[in-house]
Amino acid sequence: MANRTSAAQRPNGSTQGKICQFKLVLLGESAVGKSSLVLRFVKGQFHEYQESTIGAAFLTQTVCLDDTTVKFEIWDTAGQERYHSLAPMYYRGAQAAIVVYDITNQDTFGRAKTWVKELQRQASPNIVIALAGNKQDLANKRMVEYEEAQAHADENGLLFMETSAKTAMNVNDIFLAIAKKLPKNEQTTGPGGSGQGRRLVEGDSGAKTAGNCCK
Amino acid sequence: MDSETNSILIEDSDDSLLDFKELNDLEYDIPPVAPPTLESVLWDLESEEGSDSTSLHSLHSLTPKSKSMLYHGILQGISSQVASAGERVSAGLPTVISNSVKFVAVGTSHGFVLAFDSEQKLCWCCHDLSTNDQGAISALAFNLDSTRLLVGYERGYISMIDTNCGDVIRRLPDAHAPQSAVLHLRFTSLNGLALSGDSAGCVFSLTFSRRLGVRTWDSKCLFSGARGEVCVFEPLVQEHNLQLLGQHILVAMATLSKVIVISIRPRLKILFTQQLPRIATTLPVLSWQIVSVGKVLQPVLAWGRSTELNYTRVIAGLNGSKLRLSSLRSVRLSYTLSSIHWIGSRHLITIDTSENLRLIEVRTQQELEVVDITSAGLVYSSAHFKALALGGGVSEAFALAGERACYSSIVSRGDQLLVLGTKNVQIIKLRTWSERLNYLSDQGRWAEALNLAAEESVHRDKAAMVLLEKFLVGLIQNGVDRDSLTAGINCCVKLNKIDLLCNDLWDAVSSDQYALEWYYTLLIDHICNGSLYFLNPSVAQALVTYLNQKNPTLLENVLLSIDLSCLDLHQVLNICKKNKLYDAWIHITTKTMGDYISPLTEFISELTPDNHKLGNTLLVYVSACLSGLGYPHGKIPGRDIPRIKHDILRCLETIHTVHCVENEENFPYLRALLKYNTRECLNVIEIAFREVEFSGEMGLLQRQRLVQILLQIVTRPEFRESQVIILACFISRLITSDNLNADEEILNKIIQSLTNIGEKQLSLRDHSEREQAWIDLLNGDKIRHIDLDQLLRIALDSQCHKVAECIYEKQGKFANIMECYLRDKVRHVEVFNYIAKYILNEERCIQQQFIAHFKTLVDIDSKRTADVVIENYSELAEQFCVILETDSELLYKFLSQIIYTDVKLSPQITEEYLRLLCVKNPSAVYSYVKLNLCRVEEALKITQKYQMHLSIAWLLEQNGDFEEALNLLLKHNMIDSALGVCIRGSEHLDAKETQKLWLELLKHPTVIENISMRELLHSAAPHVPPAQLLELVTDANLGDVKVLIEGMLSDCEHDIQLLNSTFKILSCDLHHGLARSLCYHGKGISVQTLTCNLCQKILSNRLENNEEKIAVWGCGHSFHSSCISVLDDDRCPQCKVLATYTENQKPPPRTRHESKSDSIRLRPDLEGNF
Repeated sequence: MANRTSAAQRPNGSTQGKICQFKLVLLGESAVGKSSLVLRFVKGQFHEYQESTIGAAFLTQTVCLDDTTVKFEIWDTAGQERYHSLAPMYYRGAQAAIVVYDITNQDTFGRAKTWVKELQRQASPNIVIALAGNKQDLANKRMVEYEEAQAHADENGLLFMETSAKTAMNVNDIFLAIAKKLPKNEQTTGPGGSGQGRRLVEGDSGAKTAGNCCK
Repeated sequence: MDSETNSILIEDSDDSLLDFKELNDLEYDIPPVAPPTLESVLWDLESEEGSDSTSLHSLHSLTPKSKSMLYHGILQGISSQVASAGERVSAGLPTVISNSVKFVAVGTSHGFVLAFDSEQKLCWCCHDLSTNDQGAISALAFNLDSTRLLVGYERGYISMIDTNCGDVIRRLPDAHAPQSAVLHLRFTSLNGLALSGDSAGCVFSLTFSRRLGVRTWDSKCLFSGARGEVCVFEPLVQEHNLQLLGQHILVAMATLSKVIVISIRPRLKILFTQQLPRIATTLPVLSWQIVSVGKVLQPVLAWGRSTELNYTRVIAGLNGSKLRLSSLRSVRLSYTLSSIHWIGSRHLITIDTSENLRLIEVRTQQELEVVDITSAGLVYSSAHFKALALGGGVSEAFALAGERACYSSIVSRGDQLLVLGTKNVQIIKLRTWSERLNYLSDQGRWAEALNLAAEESVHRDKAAMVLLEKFLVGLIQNGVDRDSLTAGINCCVKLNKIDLLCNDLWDAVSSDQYALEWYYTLLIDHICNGSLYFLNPSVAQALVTYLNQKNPTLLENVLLSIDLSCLDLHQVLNICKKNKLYDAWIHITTKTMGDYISPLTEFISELTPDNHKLGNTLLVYVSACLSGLGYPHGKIPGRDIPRIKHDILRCLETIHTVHCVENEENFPYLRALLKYNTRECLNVIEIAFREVEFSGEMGLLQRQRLVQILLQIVTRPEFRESQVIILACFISRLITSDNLNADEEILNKIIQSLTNIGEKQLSLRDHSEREQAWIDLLNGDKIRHIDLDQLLRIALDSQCHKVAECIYEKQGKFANIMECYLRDKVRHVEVFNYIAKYILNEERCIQQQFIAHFKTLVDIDSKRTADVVIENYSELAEQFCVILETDSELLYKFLSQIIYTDVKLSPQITEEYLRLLCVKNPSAVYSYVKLNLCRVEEALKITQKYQMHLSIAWLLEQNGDFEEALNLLLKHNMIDSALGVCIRGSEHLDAKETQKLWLELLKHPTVIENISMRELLHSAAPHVPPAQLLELVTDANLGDVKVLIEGMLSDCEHDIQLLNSTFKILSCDLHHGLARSLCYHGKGISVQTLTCNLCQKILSNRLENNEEKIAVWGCGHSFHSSCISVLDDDRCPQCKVLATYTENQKPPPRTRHESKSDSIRLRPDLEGNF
């Protein structure tokens, strides 16, 4: 919230007020720690007993990256099977997605793979996908090997990190990595124009970023 | 001429007059390509100067703050130069102004003409020394191309100036009537044709040509002032590229009495004339404009005088053929016109005599703005109108009307108006839409600006966007007021600028709590009325949080009408659950997740019989789902319907919940719904059974299964008896309508629940439904396995009398039916309908039953029972009375119904009734006795027993025992009745007894107290000798007697008077009758024919046959009296009218006069009248 207000006070028309707004969606099996990850990123908090999400929750966070301000609109979807049908509503039109799995649970990794496939098939073609192996703090109970996941990420052109919402390890990093990878070139938006800027991203930046995604 | 036309072509770039093409809508998008016109440059100049604070005056806008349509400013450059010319070269005061595309020319009182260009720079100043003696400039006119300027002088001289250099190139010293001032000069669309008007009221056409390099001119009188002086004229000037009227050149002229439109080319022709109001002190006004009417451009003339304003349009065929003018509209104004000018093609400017300038929208005639232009010191050309420089010689009317002439000091062009004043030159300009936006936003009047933008911005996004962004900047810097925020949000919503609305605007208001709340309120309004559907998720989230605290009900409305994909479902669903916003919860869950089961599963634990909100919601929800409808509104996508129906049904039939707690009862969902409201729940199921899923073979099984489940659930003691019965009724409805196969088991269960006699009394509704269900089953022949006798027993045991009736009916045991009715407290009144229906049916033995249950029937409704008796069993009435003998109450009730009818009853019964009446209703005894239904002796006995004095007296009177009756009455002090007895007695008795009676009465000591003496004496007087009467009263007060005697005397006097006047009237009548009769009989009657109108034989022929008489009627018909002797009518047999005379009087009595032989003349028989 604090970040957003600071954005409102940005000097008008100054060159460094370059603002990008991105829609980011978190996907993954239930209880892998999606909400915790977001909570850690947005509020820096961690609850041992995070209640399970209903439907989808919405949060925003702004990060500064060099001379641009990146505003994330984060849709934290519910992992339970019954909410699966909701997901398309959120990943359609999203510029970035984080697919989360639990490194102590092999099934969740499998589920993560199918999410990646679904995203590649149905989401917008230049979506930036990151794979996050959460609960790194429980590495001693690890069931999914780092290498296995890294290999899968490389194969599919995904960002990959193992994270821990509990210890905050890699949490900010993965969001920042996404922010860096997102195209920001044509987003010279003054006050009041950020909406138009966002639209440009969806349409124009496709060709430019395709290469980035697949590197 | 040729050279001039060439120059015309070069300069053909003016588009300032093209405003009528609705350029307003387009100009923002299409930047003008043409070189700037004078108007635009002047305007830009003013605007720029306005923003520059150093040149304060030229910038200063005179428009008051409230309006934005008109720009009102001072042309500082021109004003100051005109003033300095007056000071330095003694040019005098300005008198005339004229403008063209490129120039503004001002004429002065000392013959100077100053021409300014678009930057208000002086181009040239012309002071023609040869016209030094011509006085002030009184008229100026540019041609369409601004190459030539015509100058008219006060003393009649006209000259032409080349506008490039200011040289005089033509001189027209005698172009018009001598000794008259030039008042008007106008060029037509043609450069070689101009018109001039002078103070003599004449109009001349001036033609210019150039032959062999020599400029020549010619003038011709178009309109002579001798026939009516022309005050003003205005040619219709069209652009060269516009050929609306072909070769026609139209000129509108106004004299003091008429407005005239003529065509001067190709032929002189009058097209239109109309009377003007005759207001001597005002001048007529005229103004042309080319306006688009529909898709066609048409010239419209605005004209008027005083308070009347008219619009007339010119309709032309192709190439200007068939010109005609038709009136568009006539308006009455509240002020007096002194000038009108079109400004743009949609607005008219009027200036009234108090120098208020008004902007009027022509289409609506709405007054948009008022500007006061008195600060200019408007120049009036009244001196020229009076031709003062020439020593007058102008007609008085013309001079009077010209008092306020300002034709040449206010000029308009395009959307500008110049006002020439002695102090300065002012400009009035109509702002375009975008200019208004700028103007308002520059002034910080955001609310007005944004409303204006929202109003018209559909095609002009860009300008509105620019405005909105400006607004935002202002808002961030200075905060915001409610109105402008309202307008801003309106504007965003209207233009669908959700980004702007949700990002920047929200950012801007979120720091200010007050503004933020207002922002939310406005968003909610827009969402609820459907104009806003999508919000940014952040805003939606904040809005939900806000509403959660403020007004959860409103939150539900918002949630129901907003796009769900922008909601934070986690937040929203939790809030809904917490606040019990079931509708919203269901809406969101079903719409987003397609999950139609969870509404049932989620809330089942909260469903208690008291939670009506949830209970009803769920019932409606289930019903909607089972019918394939969306909840709370809308539709379910077609392909989902079967799945959803199936899901819901399966859920209802679920035996246990997922997280089954111990000792949970089976079918938790259906059970909960049934427990909440069995009746409505079953209704939902019944409605659902009509769906496709429940029809056919499979559907039947489904139904069967569901019914089984229902029977399992709804059992006692968990459910109340009434609920069980409701289910039984539901099932029996299904069975009777053949929607369910009834096996014996189900039937037994149903019968059992239908017949169960509970400890508690059932409600009427339940009871009647139970009976109805049972009867339906019976009638549908569904209960075959139980024999009727057994059923009958059950029915009687369970108090189902209706069912019993039905069974009796089936068995043909009609004799018991009436008993069924009588036992049923609810229906026993209906027994009379039953009786009425079947009374003639022998089989039903109504009579026996009627007699058997007579007592009960009377008890139920004595009146209707009596009706039956009167109608059908009147001969048995006595027998009925015997039945009731023991119960005096019922007997009384019954008798009171039939005693007054014409049923014959024995005296014993009537006397019995009298007895009862004496006991129950003594006040009715007297009137009953008077009916004379009883034997007198018996009645006397009874009444004496009960001391009914009045009745006794009456009965005694009947017996002729007046005296005793009187005594009785007097004894009981019933003086009024006693008096009645005396009066009646005097009719029946001889004089002596009468006298005795009266004396008895009069002697009674209390008589006087009760009746007025006078009345008494009056009644007694005929029967008692006066002497005795007087004697009787002597012991009374003198006062009483005095009154008595006075009364008698005045009565006598009155009677005598009455008699006299009656005599008078009678004699008068007699006299009139005689006079009328005499008058009528004195007239002769001409007999039309000499034949009898009946036998057609000659009247006189019969004379020989003895004394034949002839009858003649007043109508002239005559007959042999023997011929009419057969008729016993007084009418003339021919006309069938009583022979009447002229007036409407009653016809005289038969004027049939017998006469002997030829003495046809008749005399009235007056004797008979006396």
